[in-house]
Amino acid sequence: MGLQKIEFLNKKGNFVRDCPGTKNHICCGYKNIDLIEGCILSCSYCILKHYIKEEKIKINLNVKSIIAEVDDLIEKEHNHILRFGTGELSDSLALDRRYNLNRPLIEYFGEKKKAIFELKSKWAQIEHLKPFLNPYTVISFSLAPQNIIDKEEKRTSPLYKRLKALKKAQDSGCFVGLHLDPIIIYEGFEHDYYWLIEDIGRILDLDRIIWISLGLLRFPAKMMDVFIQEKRKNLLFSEFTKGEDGKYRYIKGERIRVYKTLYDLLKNKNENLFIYLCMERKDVWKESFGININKSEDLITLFDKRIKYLYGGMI
Amino acid sequence: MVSIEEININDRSFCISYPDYNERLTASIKKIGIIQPLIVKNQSPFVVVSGFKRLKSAINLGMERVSCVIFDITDIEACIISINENLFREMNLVEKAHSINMALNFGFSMEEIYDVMEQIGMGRHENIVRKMIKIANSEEMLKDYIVEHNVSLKNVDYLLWFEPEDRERIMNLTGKIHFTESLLREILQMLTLIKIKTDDLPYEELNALNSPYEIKEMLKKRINPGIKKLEEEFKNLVRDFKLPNNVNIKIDPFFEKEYIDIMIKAKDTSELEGALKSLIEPLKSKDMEAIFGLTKNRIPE
Repeated sequence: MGLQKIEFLNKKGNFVRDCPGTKNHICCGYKNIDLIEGCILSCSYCILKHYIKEEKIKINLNVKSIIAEVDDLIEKEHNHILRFGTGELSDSLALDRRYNLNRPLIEYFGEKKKAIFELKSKWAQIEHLKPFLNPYTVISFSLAPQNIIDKEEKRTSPLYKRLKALKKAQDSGCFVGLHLDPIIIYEGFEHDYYWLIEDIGRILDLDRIIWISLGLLRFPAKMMDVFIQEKRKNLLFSEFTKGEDGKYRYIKGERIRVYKTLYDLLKNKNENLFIYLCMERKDVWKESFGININKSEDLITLFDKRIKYLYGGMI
Repeated sequence: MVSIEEININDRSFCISYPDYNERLTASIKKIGIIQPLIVKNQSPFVVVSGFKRLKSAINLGMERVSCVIFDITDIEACIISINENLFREMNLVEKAHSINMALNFGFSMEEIYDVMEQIGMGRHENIVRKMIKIANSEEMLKDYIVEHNVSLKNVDYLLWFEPEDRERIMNLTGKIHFTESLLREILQMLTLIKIKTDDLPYEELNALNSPYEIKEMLKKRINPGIKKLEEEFKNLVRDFKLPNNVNIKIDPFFEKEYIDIMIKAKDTSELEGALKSLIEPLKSKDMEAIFGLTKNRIPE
């Protein structure tokens, strides 16, 4: 496991941030809880390395204040069902068994019954959480073909363990989320993604997948030099262009093609799957999924509908 | 005065200067002699601490003796003197690399090396130290290229990424043409990408080109074939509209934005009317639809 030092903080506030979003890209309106900053996993494409300059991993111990802040936001929100997560500045589960960080939040959301708490991870260890899981916690895993996990996601759990953990979470009464993000275009990726989706369909209860995000690889311009220095052939395989936010993305035509292919493969498994794009333009939404999403609010409304559909009067 | 025979002219432990020969200095020494004495470390034979260029000029001029100041000093003290002696002038990147490498070789602590880096105007970062050591130990051809073209650390970093054989060919290619720093960076980045993707570089094609812009366009075609195709389609479609000079249709160069810009320059209503009329035919044609299709990266069949 990682060699980074852990620093415990007792911050007083500002734990919850809106997902920063990107200019002219549709954002899902997610709320990030900064419980941990930094990660012990070692994904080659990770942009945290770019944003967080420090080697140390910081853990905020002031859970009471975090919960108070979350509670305040939930009480003030009258239009939407809020979705919170701890997987933005870190992996939600990689350090969880050692430090038991998410348990109080899981319990809080379970009692509150008004919002969703998502644990997003590549570290397939949920046994310690099973006794506390409730329907208001969504266990999510970032999924990629094993080929990519081997080469680009060092120190993370293998695919079969992630899928197994998702199944366990479903069996414990949770909904699960899947994040096919980042999707990397490399030689033969279509074939690998076909089989990944086959595995998803074979192992998981598709009716208990709350959402699936698709997000093709994108990264700040500075990361290009890092990928070049490290000779990341997989990451640099396809053609990139710069978006309005200065980030590199695959060219739009390629993004549309890949999203459409994966959307069709997933929908063929189960027509009711809720699939969304992470940080994409409205025309990419339209061209890939045939859906008109003109602003972030439209997507947030779709999330509300999805949650109400699955939870009925329970939320 | 010290006899040159008493000096170990091959010991370059404290040499920072690159290149270590200067014709103008030689001409000056020939005319008026060595004004500022060399600094040598007191051992047998003497080791030069500062004044390598003066010594080489003197040897080339056939001088037998040079004026020297003899210091009883340790290696570390000699190293400090050598660096400080060079601080009064603008050091090139290779000389800065030599300074850092020398400090490292003589056992300076990391903190002391960072101090040296600060003195020579470099950032205090381990990563930069690593790059500077690579430069200090690189081949003469690269050092000459860096000095001759005043290449930035970033661009040297790209050059060092290549194996020596490729690096030599790239330096030969880029050395003969004048590149701005930013253009060289673009070219080098594209070359690294092509190398990663194909494990090969198109030297034959590149050598046939004569301007930096031709090289850039050729490489862009390889790196961004999709974008280049969209660009060409767009140019062809707009050309066929035969618009007057005061009407210009623009599209996002990255083909990301969902819209196009139509710019009209008009100084009176009749010019504006003429410009608007010129757009009527294109609007009726399928080609305008095709231009909007390009914003979604759709290439017309």
